[in-house]
Amino acid sequence: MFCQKCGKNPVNVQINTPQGPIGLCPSCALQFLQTSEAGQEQAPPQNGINKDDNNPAPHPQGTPAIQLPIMLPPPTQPHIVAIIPIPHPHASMERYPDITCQSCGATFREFAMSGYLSCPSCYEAFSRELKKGAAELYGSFKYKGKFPVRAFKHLKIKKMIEQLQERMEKEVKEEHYETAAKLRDTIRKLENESEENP
Amino acid sequence: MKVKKTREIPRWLEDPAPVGDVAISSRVRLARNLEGYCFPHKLSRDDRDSVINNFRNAILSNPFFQDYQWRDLSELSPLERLIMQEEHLISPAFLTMSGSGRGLAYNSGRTESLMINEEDHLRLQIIAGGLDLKRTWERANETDDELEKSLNYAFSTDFGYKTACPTNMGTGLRASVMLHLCALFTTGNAGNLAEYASGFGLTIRGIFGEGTGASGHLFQISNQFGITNTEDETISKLERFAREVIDRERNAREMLVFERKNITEDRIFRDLAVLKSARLLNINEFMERFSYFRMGVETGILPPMSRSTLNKILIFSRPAYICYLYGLDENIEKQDKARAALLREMLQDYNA
Repeated sequence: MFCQKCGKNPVNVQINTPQGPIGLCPSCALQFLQTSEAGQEQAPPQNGINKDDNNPAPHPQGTPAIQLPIMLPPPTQPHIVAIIPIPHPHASMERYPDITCQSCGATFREFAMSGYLSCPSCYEAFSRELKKGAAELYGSFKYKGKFPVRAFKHLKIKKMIEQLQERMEKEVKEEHYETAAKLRDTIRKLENESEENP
Repeated sequence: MKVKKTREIPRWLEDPAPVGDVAISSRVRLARNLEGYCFPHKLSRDDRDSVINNFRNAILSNPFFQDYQWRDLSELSPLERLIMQEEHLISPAFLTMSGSGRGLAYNSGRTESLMINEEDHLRLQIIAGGLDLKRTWERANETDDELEKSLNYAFSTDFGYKTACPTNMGTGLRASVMLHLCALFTTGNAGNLAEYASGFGLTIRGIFGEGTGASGHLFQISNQFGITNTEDETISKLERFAREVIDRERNAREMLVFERKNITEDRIFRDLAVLKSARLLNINEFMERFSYFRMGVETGILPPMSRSTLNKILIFSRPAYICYLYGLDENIEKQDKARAALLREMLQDYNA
């Protein structure tokens, strides 16, 4: 199935519009959502539950005659209802790049067709494409979650340093220079330690 | 018909459940893989065994897991696997995989399970009764840390935990809550929840996850992706959304009880009557009628019944459980007869 707008790339996003669902490729989907948001005066309803009692949403057809005090926002805004997990990160490329994972021998094409990577090293082998695909799907992304504590000790120290730096900047702003100086010393100590045991 | 065997139900079905009038359970799943091995779908039999050994040693040598038991998937009968799936101890995908080179470990209360060589090398899962996401995540986090003490996980600072399917990469976390949305469904307000949830990066599915229907008005809400949020952000986002939905369900129940009292009462008492006296009870009919019965108890239209008894009826009536308890095979009519007999017995002294 190809994108209903450009007709070139495979569909991987389904969007519900007041006229019914349409299937688009990621780049057309992004464009579509941006233009339809700009064209509407209403703010997008996804920021929280609509608690505006004066402006209740219309009833879906066939609903019994009963009104809830809080209604869901009406489905008038186009929004994504499904992301189809097929060759997604690369939908915008007409041909798959000719890359092979040196560790397991899997090709990028194999991944694009199945949606599954073959081994952990594929992430490095296809790093550029994966990042591009993820950026298309999620917008900009930076991994901020948990990490393996034992194997990645240096990340723990890095994270601690970042937190201390934030605190130090706050103390400086509030003119608590003595506390800030203490924090600076702690940060230096941690930095030295992590350089000694990378 | 007489019950031939008994089985203790998983602990989460009996524990006191926070917000248990609507929330049935909270689940947290973590996907992890070992460095140096292909993902399970590409592993040879020998390598699968090697992955199994890594995990088995890590589990059996760590006192943290002393309450766990290890089972090779191949030694579990098809019926036992089905029961474990009905208990949400294993995933529907694991149910159908070939047993060789796969295994699982679980605790005695059957609230925690480690599936080895499912879609990823490890699928760690913790389940709790009611809405209890934060504690469930903390327990999963702790369990994960214990395993990581002796295992090398595949991880990258760019992509987080590496998983076979890149939609799971990042935290590898899938958090979900199961909600009983009988009133929202009855008033026709459950349909647009799915669209609403997608705006938050959440999805709504049926009782057994992907590709299953919402039988008995039981819905599962979970996060879609692992890379866009930290674990804490995902958990609190899901919790906030679940609480909103729970509030709506409570409002809808109140509406049904006060503004459509006669119709609602009639429906609930009829369903109770059928549950108490049917001679054949099909699973779908049971799920639907039991849903209204449960709502009747929770709203006070019917006399009280403990949640653990309600949950016991719900789990004992699942097809594999019925087969196990009554020693039946695949014959549906016999199962329906046994289910009706079970309900009559369990509701014998319940008078409304």
